[in-house]
Amino acid sequence: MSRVCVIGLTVFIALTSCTDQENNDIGIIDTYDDKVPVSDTRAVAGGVAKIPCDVDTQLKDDQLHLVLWYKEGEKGMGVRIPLTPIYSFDGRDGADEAAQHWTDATSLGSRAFFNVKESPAKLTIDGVKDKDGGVYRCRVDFRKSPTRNSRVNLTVIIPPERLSVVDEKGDHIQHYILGPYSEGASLDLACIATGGRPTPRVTWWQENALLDDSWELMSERRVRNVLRVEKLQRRHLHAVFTCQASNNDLVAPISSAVTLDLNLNPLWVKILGENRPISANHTQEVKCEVVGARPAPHIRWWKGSLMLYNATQQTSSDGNRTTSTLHYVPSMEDFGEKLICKATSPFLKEPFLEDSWTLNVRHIPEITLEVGKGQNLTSIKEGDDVHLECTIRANPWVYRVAWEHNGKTLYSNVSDGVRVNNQSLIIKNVSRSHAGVYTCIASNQEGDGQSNPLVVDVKFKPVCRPGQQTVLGAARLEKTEIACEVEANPLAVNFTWKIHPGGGGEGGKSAEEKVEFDVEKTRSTAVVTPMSVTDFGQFSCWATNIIGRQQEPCVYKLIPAGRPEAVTNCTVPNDETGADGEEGELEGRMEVGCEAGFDGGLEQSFQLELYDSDSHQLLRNLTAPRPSFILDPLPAADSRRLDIQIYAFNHKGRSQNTTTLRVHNSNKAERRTAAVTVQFMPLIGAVLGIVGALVLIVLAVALAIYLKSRESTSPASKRSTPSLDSLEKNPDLIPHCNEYQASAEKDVDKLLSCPETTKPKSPFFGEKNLEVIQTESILPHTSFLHADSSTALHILHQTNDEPGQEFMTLSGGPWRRPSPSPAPSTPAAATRF
Amino acid sequence: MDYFYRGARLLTRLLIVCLWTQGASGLRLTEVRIAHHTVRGNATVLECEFDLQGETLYSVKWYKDGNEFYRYVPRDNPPAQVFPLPGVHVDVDKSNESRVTLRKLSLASTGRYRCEVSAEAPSFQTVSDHGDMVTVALPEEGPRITGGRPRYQVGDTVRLNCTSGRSKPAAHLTWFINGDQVKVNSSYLRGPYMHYSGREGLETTTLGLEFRVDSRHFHRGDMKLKCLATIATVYWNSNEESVEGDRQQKPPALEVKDTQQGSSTAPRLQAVTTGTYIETSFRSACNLLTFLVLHLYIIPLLSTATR
Repeated sequence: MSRVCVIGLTVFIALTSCTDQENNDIGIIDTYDDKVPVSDTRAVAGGVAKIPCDVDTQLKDDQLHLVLWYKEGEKGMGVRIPLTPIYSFDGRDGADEAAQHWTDATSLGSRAFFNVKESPAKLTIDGVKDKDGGVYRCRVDFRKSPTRNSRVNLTVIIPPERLSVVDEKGDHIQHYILGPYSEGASLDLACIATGGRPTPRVTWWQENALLDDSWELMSERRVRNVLRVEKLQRRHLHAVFTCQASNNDLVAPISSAVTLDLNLNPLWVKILGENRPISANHTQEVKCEVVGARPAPHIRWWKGSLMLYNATQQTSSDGNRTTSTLHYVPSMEDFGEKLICKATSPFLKEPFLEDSWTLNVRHIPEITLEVGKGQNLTSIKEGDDVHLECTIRANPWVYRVAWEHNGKTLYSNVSDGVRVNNQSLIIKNVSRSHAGVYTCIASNQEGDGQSNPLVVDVKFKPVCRPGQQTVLGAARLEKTEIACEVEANPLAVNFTWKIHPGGGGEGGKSAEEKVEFDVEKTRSTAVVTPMSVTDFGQFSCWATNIIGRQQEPCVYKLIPAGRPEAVTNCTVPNDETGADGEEGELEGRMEVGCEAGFDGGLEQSFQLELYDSDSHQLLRNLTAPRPSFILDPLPAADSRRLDIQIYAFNHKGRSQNTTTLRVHNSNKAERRTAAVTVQFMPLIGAVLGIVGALVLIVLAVALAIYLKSRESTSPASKRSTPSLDSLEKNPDLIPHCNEYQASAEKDVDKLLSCPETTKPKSPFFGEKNLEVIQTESILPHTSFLHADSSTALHILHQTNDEPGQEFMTLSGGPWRRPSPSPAPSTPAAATRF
Repeated sequence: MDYFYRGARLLTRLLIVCLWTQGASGLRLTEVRIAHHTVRGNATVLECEFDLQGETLYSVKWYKDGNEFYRYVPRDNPPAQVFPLPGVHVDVDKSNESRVTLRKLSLASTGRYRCEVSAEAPSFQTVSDHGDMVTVALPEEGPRITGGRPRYQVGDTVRLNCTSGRSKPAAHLTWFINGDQVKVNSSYLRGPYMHYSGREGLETTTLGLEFRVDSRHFHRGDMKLKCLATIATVYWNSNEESVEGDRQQKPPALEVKDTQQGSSTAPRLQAVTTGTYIETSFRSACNLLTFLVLHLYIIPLLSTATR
């Protein structure tokens, strides 16, 4: 291929080389260095060049003929090689309008036009090319004036082609966003201009301020200016750095602008609001504000060294302000803790900025109740001193401390040995009544706080449990359980029984052999089946625990059980002493109340029977556990005399006597006062003589008591109805000698007689002016001395077949039936001994 | 073979240069003849020969130092037009499109004279060339030698001054000892020293000659000391002194020989002639080149290709 080209070229040379030898002399370059002034003008490539030429005539009648534009160096500018003008303006034929413009097609073509109207006239070249540069000569021919030659050096400026902005690493800036850089960092931004002639000037600007005009030539076509900004600051955020490259003032410089993005540290971190005291266990809302951070900071909450998570974060639309809202529930342990709000930026290594509050958490007092120092809660026994201490944590401090014992507020009580002293409680000489649950209550503005319950256990020697049935009735051969119940702390007890048989003497030994004992915790049961009268008697029981032996024994009396006594002292309560003065009228509802007699050792019930006095017809029949009855009104037609009969009954049978009340069922009813008729049973008549003697004795004794203790006993006796209850089958009645009952009813109840062996050393015996009435062998039967109220005495004395076992019981006041005893459980067997 | 290719490449390049320079045609300036030196008061003819080669003549313009002083435009009536310039006095009657006669040359006539020939529209092809002319004010007297002694002994110091007459430009002085020119950078010479005088700025030159007499300076007992003053090619004038050595007991005599030869007419412009010769030889070289390339390089290639 290359060979073919060479051949073609050679043939061309051969044809042209030696033709027209004479006409083709090579001219010598004539630079036209005559004394023709040269001026300079400039044009930007692609722009418009305007080359001035003075065509003004100096003489008045002169005329512009011809303007020829030459370009030096064009096509040789030789001496003998003609220089063809690049442009000609031929006005020799007349006016300027008719002038002929001619342009050299190869150099300027249609791009050029010579405008003579301008002053000075200018050759205008559009779309200036690099090759348009050079020295232009303008020859102006006038009709008269000498020819004028002028030279203009046109410099074609080629603006810089492009700019590239690169960072320290040489990377191009994407999207004209620089960074983000960190606050305080330094910035090296290089701007490189490529191309351009003459060498462009590369400058850095911010707004209208020149930052850097030191550029360096990297290579022939590349100029660089490195802008260095030390320690970027907040004010540099969004700063626009503009690089300009220019090599002329004809066209606008090319420029490239980059915007700086910065990561900024927060200006401040502040927990909003006032650090007020807060209540424990109430949700709190706290806000923390961070201003000036960029990008939005991470706000974290700390409580001391514990991070809190329940926070939400919001950033304002301009990104300048970020607020974190924390919800947390302070606890009393948080008092004095620091609540810290920390702001961090993910891109900055600067230390955290933070704000903190020292929490003042108010809370309900928290109380711990403990026993005082040196005391052992497990070893408190009666008589010790107890010291309890209440430890309080509270904010604000408590204004009141209260103590409770078993739920009741406790106050200082010197007589009881209790002393409350704010946070301590001292009980001197503690008794078992002080045992129980203690709590300490303290109050502040947040509320009341209650301590843990502290159980104070007071250990004590066993004592008899109060309220026990101490008199038990039993029929012969009736198996009876005597339960001895004690209270003790600790509960672990041993029991000791002592039996004082009714037969006395050596009978006690035989009696113990017949008794079976059973122990269940604090209850010991003696099971007795009285075979004979000697098997009745007094049972004493002691319990012992580690504290000690029971001081006073529990004493139980096993007595032969019989039929109950008749009721006494029956009244009709609505039997008022009205204007008509009548009583016992069964006009409306009527209440009948009596006093119960001795139950015979067994549980008794009461029966009321209403009869027509005339016809003895039973009209009503009522049963009640107590001698108190309510009678509904009878029909008016039954207006007549009525009899009410009231009697008691138990398993052994009904009372010997029946109390009869006589009432009228009309207004004409007979006035009655205590119309009690004692009907003697036919059997009684046999012993009438004995009764007579008994009455005498009673009178004598009553007189004696009256005389001896007239100052302490009231002599008056409203009603006294001594009744003798003779048991069918020598029912031995073992008198009570229950110390507990005696002490409980110490006012009136008098223990008349207790066996010498079992009689406790009770102070009552010495102090009370009661004389023990010896009824020894007076009557073969049991005698009852019944004292009404405080003065009347009911003396029941029963003599048994076996001598030497007389007991007398003196008791006063309204007769108290002992609590129902389970003893008489076999009535069939008990009816007869 | 490598050398062959390299040589062929060089020849090809030279050929391309030849072709480029031979491309132009049209109006052609044949010769511009301007005397390098003219004598004040004389007249001179400026010649400008051109070959239109089919083009129509628009104008012939003469400039001195860029200022037009003569114009010949065939379309004008009269075609010739003169613009006055200092030192330029055109004799219109003895001037036409190819020659301009200047009369009464003065010192102001010195300058660059340019002939510019333009063809008619539309191309207005233009050729121009110039020549530099110096008009000389000749000295009114020859060089004078002063300070000589009639007799010198070996070891004496000769100390002479030669001073030219007033002229413009200043005359160039040369010393000869016994006919041998003293070289310009010789240690014998002192000066030259220039002196301006007069309103016209005419100059005199003084060149000193100083040396210790040696026996070899004497030729047959005599020593001839000659001072020559020249101005370009238009003025030659000398003065000679002859002194005796002490050994030859001759009566002291100072012989002065004035060898003024008068001003000569200016020769043809040498530069132009020289340029023509160079040009001719260059063209011959091009033809030779073409021949060489064709025969040494191309034809062997062709023969190898067809083989």
